[in-house]
Amino acid sequence: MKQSLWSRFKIWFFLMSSPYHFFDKIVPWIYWTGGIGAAFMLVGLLWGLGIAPPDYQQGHSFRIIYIHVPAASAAMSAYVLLAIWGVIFLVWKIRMVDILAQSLVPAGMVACAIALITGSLWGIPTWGTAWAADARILSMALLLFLYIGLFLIRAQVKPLGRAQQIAAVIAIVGVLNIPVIKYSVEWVATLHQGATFTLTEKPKMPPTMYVPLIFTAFGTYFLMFAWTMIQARWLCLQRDSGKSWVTEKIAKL
Amino acid sequence: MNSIWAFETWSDFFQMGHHGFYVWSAYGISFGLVAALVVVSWAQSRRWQLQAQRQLSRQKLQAQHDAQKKKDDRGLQE
Repeated sequence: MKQSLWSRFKIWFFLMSSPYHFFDKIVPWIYWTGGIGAAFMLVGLLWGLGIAPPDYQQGHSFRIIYIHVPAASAAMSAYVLLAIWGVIFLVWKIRMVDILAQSLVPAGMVACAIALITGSLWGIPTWGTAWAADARILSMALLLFLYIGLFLIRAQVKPLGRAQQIAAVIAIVGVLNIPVIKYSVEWVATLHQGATFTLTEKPKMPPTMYVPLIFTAFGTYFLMFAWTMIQARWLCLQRDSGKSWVTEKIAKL
Repeated sequence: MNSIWAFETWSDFFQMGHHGFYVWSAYGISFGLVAALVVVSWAQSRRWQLQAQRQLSRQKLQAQHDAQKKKDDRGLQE
């Protein structure tokens, strides 16, 4: 009897939550997302830097957008994922979910730092200042501190079980910051501009300017996924070290 | 109309209309941070891998040594 799509998905889901199974099955995903992500980034950056016309008001400095927006977006999405994984880990104790979370934190942290630094550099020619105590910028800085906190907790707190729990809680509590980042520009009239993209309206930029942004955004997401999976494979080996499947893999490395 | 490119010369491209410092610092620092992440992570993974392999070969040697010792002990008992 043919299995339903749902039951096949459930089987796949449970298999992927085993580090032993995940280690091999994720490899083609890494190649595909890594390859497509790199290609998208290349196209987006070439187009954004060399082809998109200069902005009427900002001139060429607007090109920072092709790094700034994807980085900020990825940093926020990653934190939401960490919060979801935090809940799953605390409730269902699935080890794989914590492995994924630990693998994602460094990349999310770097993305957040990039968003802040590029934003700061963009602010100087645009607003005349590298920093403003504006709602979105402040909450983004808070996000960076949360990421650094998660990173240090996972690196320094022993035993592992305690580090996992504290990290999960910080991810869950800190996720409240994400809607603040996103909507602060609408709630409070502040320095940072509002959204270029919404689900309902046409973008305020011409296509030749926003299409490369879509490329770099997808490229960033795909590359971050591939990178996280690469790190997760290493962490699977480390967390399961001592088990026979790891011994076999190490011998083959 | 010009070619598809937004700049006429390479010099224009590097200058980014007198915003070159901001644009290239932003891109450069971003690239640098990503490179640092990749290199540090790779180095950590490699360190763990070497340590794990060393431990594995030590265990193998120890197991061989123990097996040999057992054979010798059995030989001596006869």
